Amino acid sequence: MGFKAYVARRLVNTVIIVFVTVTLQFFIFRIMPGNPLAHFISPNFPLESRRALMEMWGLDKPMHEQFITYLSNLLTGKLGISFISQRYVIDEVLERLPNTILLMGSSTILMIVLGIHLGVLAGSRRGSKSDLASVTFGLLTQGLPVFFLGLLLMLTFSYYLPVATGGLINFPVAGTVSRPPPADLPRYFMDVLWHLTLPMVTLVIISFGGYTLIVRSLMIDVMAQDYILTAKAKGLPERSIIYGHGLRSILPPISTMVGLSLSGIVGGAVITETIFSWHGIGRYLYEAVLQNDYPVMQGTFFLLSMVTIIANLVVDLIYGLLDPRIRY
Amino acid sequence: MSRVRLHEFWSAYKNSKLGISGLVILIFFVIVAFTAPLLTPYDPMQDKFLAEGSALPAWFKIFPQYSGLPETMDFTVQSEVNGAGWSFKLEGPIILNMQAPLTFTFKAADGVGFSGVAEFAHRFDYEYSPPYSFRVNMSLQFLDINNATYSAELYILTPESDSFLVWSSGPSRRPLEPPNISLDSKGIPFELKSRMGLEWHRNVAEHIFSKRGPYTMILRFRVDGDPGGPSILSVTLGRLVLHVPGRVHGVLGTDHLGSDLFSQLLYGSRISLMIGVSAAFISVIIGLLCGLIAGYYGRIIDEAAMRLVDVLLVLPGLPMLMILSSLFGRSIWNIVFLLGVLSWPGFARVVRARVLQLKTAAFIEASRAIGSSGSHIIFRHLLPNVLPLAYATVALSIPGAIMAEAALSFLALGDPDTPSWGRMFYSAHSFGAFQRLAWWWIVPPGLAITLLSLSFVFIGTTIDEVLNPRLRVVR
Repeated sequence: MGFKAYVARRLVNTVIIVFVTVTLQFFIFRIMPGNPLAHFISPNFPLESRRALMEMWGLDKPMHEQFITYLSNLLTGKLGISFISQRYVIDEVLERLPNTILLMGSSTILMIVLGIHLGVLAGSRRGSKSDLASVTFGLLTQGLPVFFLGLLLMLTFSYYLPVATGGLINFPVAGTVSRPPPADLPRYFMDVLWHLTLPMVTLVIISFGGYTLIVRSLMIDVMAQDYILTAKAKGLPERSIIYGHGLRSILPPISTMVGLSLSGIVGGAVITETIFSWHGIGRYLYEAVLQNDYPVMQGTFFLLSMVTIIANLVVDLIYGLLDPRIRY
Repeated sequence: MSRVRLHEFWSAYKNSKLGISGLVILIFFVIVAFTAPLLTPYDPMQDKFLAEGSALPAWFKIFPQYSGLPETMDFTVQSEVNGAGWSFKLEGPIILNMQAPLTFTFKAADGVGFSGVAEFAHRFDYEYSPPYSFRVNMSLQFLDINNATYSAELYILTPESDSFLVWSSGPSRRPLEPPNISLDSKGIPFELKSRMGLEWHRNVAEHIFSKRGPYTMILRFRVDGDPGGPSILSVTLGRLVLHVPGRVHGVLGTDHLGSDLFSQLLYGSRISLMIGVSAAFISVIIGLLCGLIAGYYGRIIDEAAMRLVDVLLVLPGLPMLMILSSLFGRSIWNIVFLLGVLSWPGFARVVRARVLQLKTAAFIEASRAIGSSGSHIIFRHLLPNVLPLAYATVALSIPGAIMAEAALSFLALGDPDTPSWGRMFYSAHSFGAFQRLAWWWIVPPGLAITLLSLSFVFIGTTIDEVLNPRLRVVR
């Protein structure tokens, strides 16, 4: 199979997944008990906007026509109007999307780098102290709930340490940026970074232990292979054996693992955003669920699933590039 | 598994330190879950206002700076004349029936206006630092009232002989309605506060009980007969109860509503175990069926099932759970059902892959050749061969379910009527445990979730190593 054929297959698969996802969403919000209109139109809206929304979603038409209207609405970014703020959901969501991508993107990259590095270290020095430490840590984080870790970090770095060090160490309890935000760009950047630290560290600590365990066992398998022995016999430096031969050959399964963990990271991000009052999509979804703001629930869930589906596609493409059986 | 194989399994399992420690932790939590009502006298949800909201743990009193904090105090004055009851002072035409319950009667002769005062006092000791609040309850039954005006007042006399008026009926000619004194120090009218010399925002309980020592509760009736008519007033006193909510309580203190945190911790193990185990069973059964059917029948069934698996694996699970549980309703069984239905795809893939391997094996070919039906082959031949995968998967998917339920409860999207560890986090996060640096409210439920989840991780990993040795790490 050539790379082009592989990419084409992945693309088709992604389109199918997107289609199934939006279909599921269509049915979930229409089959629920009660009036489906109640999931799109707030009774508090004035008559004209209710009529406009009826028309926009085609709620008075038969199901199959509704479905087509629904698809074309989603594809053109018409996600409806929030019950609470009475603004367009798409505007609200786009305002928050960069924050969510900043938090999820930075923590995903960090956890991958850390996880791979520690996994390789542990796997190539089996039985050493660093191996034992990473395995123990990896196992322990399997049982640690993300909200517990987040709240512990918050309790320590935003409540205890500011008191103990007289404000020297002081991380913010809430928010994405100070209010009012600093005017000049470098200070603004530092301020966002300062707010980003605790939620990001929470997500990284929760996830990278699991990565370490998997990379470690892949690495142990690979280091027992004959070609590693050959490389050692050739007298190659250890570094190049571990990274050039060992790690290089397990990169494809690692990328699969990253793809499978993405949906969990989104779930973790929703909780972390809620705990640290991060102005992102996850927290917006949570607020919408609390207030029964159905259009926002649909819109944010649609966007969160699109983010994971696209990230998965990217991971699949990287897999294609990494796996020589596909590349050539 | 037959008895012999169970024995073999156990002899391999018990050699694993990880597996044994997991089992020990699990057994501990199971015992706690079953014996919770014996370990704590309180109901985790129903018993509110056991002490002041956000009270400290009782063992804080061993530290000198907390040693004086008040414990919950319920103090009863009986309706009788002696040490446990009242001492009294009467003026004017008042007679007291000394038999319990105490009844006093004011009687004035025809045509002459008389006044009388009945005063009841009780001394008690208060030996703590100031409380945040106190409550007084007492019933007063008016047997007879005619041509008379009365006013009843309740005073508290401090060790320094300052007297504070905390309750007053005002002058009245009718029986008290409702027929009791019901007083909360947080609801004392501004008028009385200003008579104590307090601003409106000050705490009355702290002000009154600012010293340790002998206090006196004084109940005082003043009765004026009308000029002209035969006047009568007869009142039966009920028991007086003084309730001072403690600022320390139990093993872990109280939450914002004054419920016992330690019982919430104990009872929380029930819901976590129940949800974790049942959701894992549902998801493993669905995963087994789906993997077996998709793997055995192949073609369009396989294709459809695997696309559904792809979708469920990609979709963010927690957001989906949040939305669905809010649409379905937030009961435990809905959450169990949703957790089970959303978390089977990973296992279905594993089962399918194993079935694809087995399908070409000779014994399956043979069974098919003699004309066995599809369901016969699936349940008699394939199922026993994939079942060892299921035992470990049940154990390994429990932590996910436990943590998902805890996350939902933490987000206040869980079952509102059930005590759970996630709920303790929710109340801690929303009602000021952080501002108070109340680690005893935050750390224990977190450790409990972590330990219980880890016990299943340990058990699952060990079962996996014992039953599926080919998955063991190559040495």
